[in-house]
Amino acid sequence: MENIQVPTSLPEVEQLIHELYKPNPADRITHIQDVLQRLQRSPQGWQLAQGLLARPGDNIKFFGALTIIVKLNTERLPDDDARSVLQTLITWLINSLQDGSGPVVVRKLCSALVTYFIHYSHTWVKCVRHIIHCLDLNASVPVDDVRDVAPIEHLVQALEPRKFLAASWFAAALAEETEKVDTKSTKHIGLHEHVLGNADDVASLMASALKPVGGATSIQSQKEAIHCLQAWFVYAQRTLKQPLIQNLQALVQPTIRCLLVDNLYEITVELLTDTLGNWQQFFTRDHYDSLYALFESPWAQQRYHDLVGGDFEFDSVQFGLFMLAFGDAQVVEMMDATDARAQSFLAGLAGLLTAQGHPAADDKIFVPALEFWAAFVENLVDTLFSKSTENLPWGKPPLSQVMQVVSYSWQKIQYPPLSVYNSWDSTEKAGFGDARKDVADFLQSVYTISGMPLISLFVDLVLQALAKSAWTELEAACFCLGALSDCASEGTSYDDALTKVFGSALFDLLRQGQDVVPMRARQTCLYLIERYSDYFVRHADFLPAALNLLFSAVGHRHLALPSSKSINTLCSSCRSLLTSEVGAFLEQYDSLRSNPEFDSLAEERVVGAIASIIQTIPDGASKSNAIRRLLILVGVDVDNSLRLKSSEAGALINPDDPMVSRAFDVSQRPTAPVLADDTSLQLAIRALRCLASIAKGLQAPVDLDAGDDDIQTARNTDLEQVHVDIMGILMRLKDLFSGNSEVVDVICAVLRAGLSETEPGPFVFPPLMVTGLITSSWNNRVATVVNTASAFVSSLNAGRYKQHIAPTLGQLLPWVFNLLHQLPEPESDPELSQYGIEFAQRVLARHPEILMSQASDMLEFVFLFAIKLLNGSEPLPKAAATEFWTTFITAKSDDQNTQATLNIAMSHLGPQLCQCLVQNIGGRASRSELDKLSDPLKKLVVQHVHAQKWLEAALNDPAFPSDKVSTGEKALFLKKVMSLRGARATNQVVRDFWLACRGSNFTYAS
Amino acid sequence: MSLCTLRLGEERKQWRKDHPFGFWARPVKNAQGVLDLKTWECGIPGKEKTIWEGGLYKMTMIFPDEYPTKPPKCKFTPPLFHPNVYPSGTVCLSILNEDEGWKPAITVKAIALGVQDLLDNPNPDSPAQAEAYNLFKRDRIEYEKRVKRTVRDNAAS
Repeated sequence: MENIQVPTSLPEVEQLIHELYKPNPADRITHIQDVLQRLQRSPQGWQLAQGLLARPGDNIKFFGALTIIVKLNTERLPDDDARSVLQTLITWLINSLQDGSGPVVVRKLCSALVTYFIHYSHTWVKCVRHIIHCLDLNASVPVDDVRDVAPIEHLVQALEPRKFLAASWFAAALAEETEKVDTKSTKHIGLHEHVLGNADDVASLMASALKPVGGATSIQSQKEAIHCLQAWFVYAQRTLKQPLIQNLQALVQPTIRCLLVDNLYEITVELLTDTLGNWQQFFTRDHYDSLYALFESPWAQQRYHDLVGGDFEFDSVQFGLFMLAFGDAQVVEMMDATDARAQSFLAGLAGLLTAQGHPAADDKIFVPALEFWAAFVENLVDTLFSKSTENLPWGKPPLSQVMQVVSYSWQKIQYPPLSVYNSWDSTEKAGFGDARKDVADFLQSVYTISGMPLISLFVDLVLQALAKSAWTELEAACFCLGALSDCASEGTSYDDALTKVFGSALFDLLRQGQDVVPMRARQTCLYLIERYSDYFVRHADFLPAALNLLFSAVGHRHLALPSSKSINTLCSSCRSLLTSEVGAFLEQYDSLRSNPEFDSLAEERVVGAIASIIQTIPDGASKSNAIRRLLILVGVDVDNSLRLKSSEAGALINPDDPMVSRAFDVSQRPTAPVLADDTSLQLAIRALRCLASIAKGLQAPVDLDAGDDDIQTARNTDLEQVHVDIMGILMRLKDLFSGNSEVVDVICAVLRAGLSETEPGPFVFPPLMVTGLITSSWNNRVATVVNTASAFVSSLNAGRYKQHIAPTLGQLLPWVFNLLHQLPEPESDPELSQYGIEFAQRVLARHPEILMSQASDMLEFVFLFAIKLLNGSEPLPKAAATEFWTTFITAKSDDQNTQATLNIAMSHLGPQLCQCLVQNIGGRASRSELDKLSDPLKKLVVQHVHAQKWLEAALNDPAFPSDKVSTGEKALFLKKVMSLRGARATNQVVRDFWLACRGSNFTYAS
Repeated sequence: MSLCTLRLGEERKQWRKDHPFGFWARPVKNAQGVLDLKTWECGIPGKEKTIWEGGLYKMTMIFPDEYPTKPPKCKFTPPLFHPNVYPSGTVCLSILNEDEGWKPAITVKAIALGVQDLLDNPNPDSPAQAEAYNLFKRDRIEYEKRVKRTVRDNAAS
């Protein structure tokens, strides 16, 4: 980049400023700014500013004023010098009004004056009055002269418009800038007192524009006055001081009148809306009365009419927001149904929900209006439930208005015709969807007050819509009814109401397909069934109709996911009612499988649902039989997969082959011939996922009363055969496909599903079988298998297979250790390292004698492995190793030999372990690891006599990672740790020491 | 009323007034139908044009009595496949850590957006679950496949 010379003369500086405003590459602009800023800060800055302000050109003058601000902010002047700066600044301001300078220059000079005030307010107490006085005289008069000035109103009224603007800009900047200076700090008490001392003059200045004597004022002046007022409202709300508030309150009435002036409407409505929203206490009763009167005026009626009629231009929506802000500020009055004026206004707020057009897509007032009503209802709820009804501040709540809003919003969330909906962009569609959710939330709040009648209302609406085949109405009514499912509880009246819907012709109509009921309505009805699954548990008579309907929909690609979800929920919660129907379900599933649109995820849910019904079959043989029928169906995919796998390399299958539609869902289905190998893999995955879902479905529900059923301890040959069959599938698919990580994960999921069961079952395999599968060869993600092995061993601890623990571990431990042994480095497969060490840790915690009786070379390897992980940088294996060592330090065994081995191992490994811990705590660990690393340290100091000696050696080792702590500090650290004897406070000591070792420059970024 | 409930009441108001697109969040109701302000359920949508798009992930925010001095605990239910989500479902994120980035000024909205951002921008420095973390670091193709499955399981309706 070309080097920029530091300018040595005023023209050169000017040149550079011009350059700054030209289009230039970003880095050049930055560079120019750097040079100019250096000049501004230099001792010549004052002269520079003076020179620039005397030159023509807005940019040059602006930069001059900016330089003054920089100097005022960075240098402290003696008061006398400061005063002369003030006089010069005012002179420039007056000049700028006469020499045709642009508004940017005048505004910047006003900012400079405010900056002056912030630093030297004691020298310029009556700043507003003084400025006005100077502007009036066209001269910078001494500050003290203003005391003699008569009431300011005359001066203000005599000001020419451009002088008025300058005074207004100064007054606005005064509030804006001083508001940013901490109003609570004692350091700035003086400044804020001086600001408040100007309140009268500011109010007079604004009043001259807002309530002009004789009407002589310009729109521009009024706009500036309102802008200035906005700044002072914010300042007043921050400081909450009189007489400022009173001064400002006096200006509210004239401000309200500004609403009626077209050119002032936008800025005024914004000011009033913001203030109503943020500071409703500011307005007096009189103000509220005037606002009520305003809203009742023909002007407001016309605006309201336009808005509701579909005018969603900015200013029209602003009016709606103004009404809502007023309603919020008057919420207590609005809640009183006996307050006629408030109720009439409230009816207007309800009417906002009837504006033309669809929410979010066209209608921009619906969402904010609904938000008001949601807050309103919650206020009602709080008031109704938190106080005794006798002490209510008002007569009775306006429930009828709330029900009116319910009715309006129900109508508004009806979907438009498909052609209209499809013409919306994604934001409009999402906005409409969100508006529907807002309505659902709102209805839930209303339910708290209204209770049952709200349910009845939507039940009736569903039935009415049904009677006239009005599907969009039906859809919206079902959506609203569904939204209430969480609120409603059991009860006869509630069930009776729902029976009207579920016992109606609805299900029959829906089953007749899309020609009769459009897709959207069908989807929502399916959702309704799922939402009320509890109802079907109590009313089994309607269950078959509901399930038949769902099954008729599940093969349809657009309905597959919602209906399969409902099938799963209903079958799972009504499982014991459906036991006898299991045959019919299996047939339904069988016929679905030939449907090329049957989605794989939907299928998983369906088989899971059927499995949950099978779970309830009391008789073992029938149960096994049902399972077998399900497995045969899934087995078709397995067989096809195996068959395809054995076809010659590179063989292709036609895309219209039924196997392809089983292997790929519609959205991913190939259109050209596809490799047999790929198809084979996808079929295997689909079959395995179904198996995993079946295994989950067969899990006993958690709330089942255990112990009621006879525990079958006798050999069950049927079940044994099922085990063999399933395991056969798993083994075969594993042998062929375990190079695919999804296959490995799903096989593990199948295994895991049986581990939590306490009763025998098709997926509760004998331990030998599980061990056999686990320790067989895997081609990918063996870490997942090791993790499953951990869960398997834990399940043996809890279950009835306790006697299998020793032999199982006898096989699994060498298998795990061998896998770790094969790693080139402990961190080359962090997941395997982590799960491997976690496995060892769990065995060590529960069965130290089994772990310690492993071959000594293997044990040595594992301990060193754990040390390396602790020294390493992979966070998760490191955390696992930390836990391993914590367990090791505290390991105890009743068996004397084991205890002796543990002791020997500890004394052998102690120094190394301490070395490792100290290295970490001495700065190598990351901060988030410190708590975890404190654990072994805490255990060590209470468990081992040599701990102090070991730690001391490690702290003073030349390999200690930090040179920022002295020997004394290290000794002090050790002393603290030892004397805390493992208490929680050790963690803080460790943190402090680590921080000291890292050095004080540490921040979170590292 | 405690500072905690006051703040949560305000958070609720603010959320209603202004919440990001596609998100939802609300306090749960207890058995009597009364709101429990200290437990919120929310839905975090996957960001558009990321592999998480199309899913809506359910998360619970549990606010301690010391809130807002202490951060809420955020937990995906069911647990989510993600490098910074613990196997229990708890989210590991600096702004939710009292010792790191938590500030009482952080709003529910900021948390929800922060978690959404985390979905597609995992922090490899603070892994919380081995599976997603190691796939993310070592086998991006498989990682994305798993995420796609997660999206399908949590499809926004």
